[in-house]
Amino acid sequence: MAGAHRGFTVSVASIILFKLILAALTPLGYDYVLYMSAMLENVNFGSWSPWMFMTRSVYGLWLSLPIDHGNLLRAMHLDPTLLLPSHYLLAALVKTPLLVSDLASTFLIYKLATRLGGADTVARRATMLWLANPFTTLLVEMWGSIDIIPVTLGLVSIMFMIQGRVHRSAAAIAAGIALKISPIITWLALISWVLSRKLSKTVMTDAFSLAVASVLGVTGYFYWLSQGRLVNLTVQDFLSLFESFYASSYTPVTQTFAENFPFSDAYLWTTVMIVIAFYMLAAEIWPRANRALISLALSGVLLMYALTDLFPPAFLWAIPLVALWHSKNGKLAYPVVFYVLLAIFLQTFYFAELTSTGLSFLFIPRTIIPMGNQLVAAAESLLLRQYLSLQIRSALSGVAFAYAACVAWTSLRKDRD
Amino acid sequence: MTLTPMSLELAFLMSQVTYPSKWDLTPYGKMMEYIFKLWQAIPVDHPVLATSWTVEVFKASTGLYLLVFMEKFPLLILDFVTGLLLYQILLREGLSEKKASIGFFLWFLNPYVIVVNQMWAAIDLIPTLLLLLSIFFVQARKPLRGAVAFGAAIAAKLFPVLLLPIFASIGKRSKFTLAFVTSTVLGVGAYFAWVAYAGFNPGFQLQQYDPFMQYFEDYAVVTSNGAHIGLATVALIVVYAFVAEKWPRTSERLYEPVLMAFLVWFALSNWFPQFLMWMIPLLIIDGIVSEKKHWVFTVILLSTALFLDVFALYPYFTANGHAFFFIPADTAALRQAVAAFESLANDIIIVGLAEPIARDLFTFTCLIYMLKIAAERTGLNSALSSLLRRRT
Repeated sequence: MAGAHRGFTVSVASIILFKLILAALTPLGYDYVLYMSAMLENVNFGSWSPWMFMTRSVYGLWLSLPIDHGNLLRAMHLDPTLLLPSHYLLAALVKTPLLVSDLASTFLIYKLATRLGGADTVARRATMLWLANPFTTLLVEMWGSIDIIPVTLGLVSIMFMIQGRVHRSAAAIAAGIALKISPIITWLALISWVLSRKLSKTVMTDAFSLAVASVLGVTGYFYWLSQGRLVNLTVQDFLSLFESFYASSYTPVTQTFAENFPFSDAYLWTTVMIVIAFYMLAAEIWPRANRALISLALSGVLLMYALTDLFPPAFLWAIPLVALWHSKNGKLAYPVVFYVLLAIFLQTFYFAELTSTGLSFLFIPRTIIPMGNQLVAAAESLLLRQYLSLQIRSALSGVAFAYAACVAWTSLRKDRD
Repeated sequence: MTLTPMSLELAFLMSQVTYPSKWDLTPYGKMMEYIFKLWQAIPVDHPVLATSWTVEVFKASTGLYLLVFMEKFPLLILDFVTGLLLYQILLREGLSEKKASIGFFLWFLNPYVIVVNQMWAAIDLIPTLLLLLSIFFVQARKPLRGAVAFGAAIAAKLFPVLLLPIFASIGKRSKFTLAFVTSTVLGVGAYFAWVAYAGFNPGFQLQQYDPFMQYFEDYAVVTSNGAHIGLATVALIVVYAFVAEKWPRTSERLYEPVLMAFLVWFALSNWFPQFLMWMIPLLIIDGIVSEKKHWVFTVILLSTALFLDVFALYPYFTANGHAFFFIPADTAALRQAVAAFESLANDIIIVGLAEPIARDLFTFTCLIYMLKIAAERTGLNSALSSLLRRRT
């Protein structure tokens, strides 16, 4: 037993080290380049976001170091040969909070799995399913997506909810929503969960607490999004902001959230409608066991994947829930098929993003990986977009839908009161 | 059969066999060429096809009608064999000879099959028969032969590949699954090999058409990154998952999950008339075996489909004004009939009302039928009602 524990600790440490190395080696990560460029070019984009504040601070610290700072902007966009060791250091520094958040999620998953599954082996399995999932590393440490922070806050919220500390849970989800509105999907699971209990004063208080959290979270999000202008915002401004994000594919739910069932200009959000309907139905029939909160959140996220287009970092949302759910439900066929299809999907539709428009291979500058040019060319030759785009996108949707149905069915049967 | 030489498919293929072309190198093109050579050896008049039988022209003569009969004759044989196979499957299901005979005649005299097979002369009967043969062997507990037939069906026309997850998930033993996976790989390889051998670009085939068949389209929703989500594909995957999770692990009544897959696929995709022939034998088997009046669904499906075929695709039936239901419009009366029919097909009531309603009815019936099979076979009804009940 002690040996197994030691082995687990060594594995976790090795994976963390590996992640740290990859974080430093990928200064061409898509989101990293996005916010670093915005900061260096001093554009307005997200300038009020908490993340940009932090990035600016880290950058300031890095500038104060007595090292060659080179031309980061040019290196990131045009010529990776200009990347200096100091740029790799900067990537590691800016991504450190992401890595910390990843570790916090690991810890939370371990704790949650222990609480939900009991046995230590279940908790270890859950931890490894999160930590060793290649998509976790790809999207967090390599891509540089800040989605990991709201994901962690969502996990904190779930943890508190399961512990019965609903107000703390509400505070955590409000913070997550304020940072990036996407955890609203977790909020839906939480409110559905709370409302699934028999109506009482406690339930009303808990629901009120979550309602306040959502209002505060959304307000906070729009506050920084509108660069602190909220005080002067009218309702019309608010609606215009909302609509313009939708129209420009920069939506309040998250970036490039695209409805796949458009109704000309009527703005009937079918996906949102279906997901809300799902949670309303769940409030009626979903089991009340603690584990069922995980299946509820996972089913909702998978349903979202089935019905809409989301930018790759959005696929991070489900990974902790997948880890928690499958730590005890051994049937791994669905997640395996889903993630294989996701890999094909990303390679097919996000090749330019994954290779920084040809400057990298999975964000590692192709100048520093052996046979970088050939590797990128070989990956490009595998592009299936022109032949099988319909099938790949459809298959991913279909599997997400079937996966959601399977999780829901299993939970309804096994976790029933 | 002999009186209907003007189907676009047959007329086009005939125009290709008279001089070297890619179509000569396809298995079916080769067969047509051999028949053509045999016809040339028969002492009858041999008019020049380039001027006497094209998509626009058919200059009637005894010799030419003989050629029409000879070219379509293999389809008639296949039609008969399919009927016999249906008869055998029904007998194996424990039905009486009388009921099995009804099944045979429901197939052999089926108006849809007559229109699509004997008159239109679509080659889809070849994979349909092979697929049915595969089901027959599997149900007769001869999975290896079933796998061979399945691979051959895929090699003939790619669509049966859609059914692999169904075949693979009903077997109890891994050998069964392995046999079907292997035959699928070989079948797909053979399909693309002859496509490439004939000089068609397999990649282009995939790009231009759906990989599963020409002009076969999912009803799709456009996504922001330029791809589409095909609703039929999504629904089909859900059926795969359902069969894998809930279907009894037995080769008995294999036609049911296969029929379910076809039903959701056709419900949510845009098909060509001949594609529906793939599932007609299964509709007949289920209609006769089931004691739940499933034949009502079959009647609705085939009648709405036939209506849609005849009206929505009327240029195929009139060869763009040169035929009346594939019969050459070479008399004034027939030309008048063609004009009247085309006018009717273009009528706003037909186009704007009847066709959409028929299509909706077809889709709705497919989905309800599929759900009914699923519920009856797996006890889904009671399971759902117990799961969806409000907690006490």
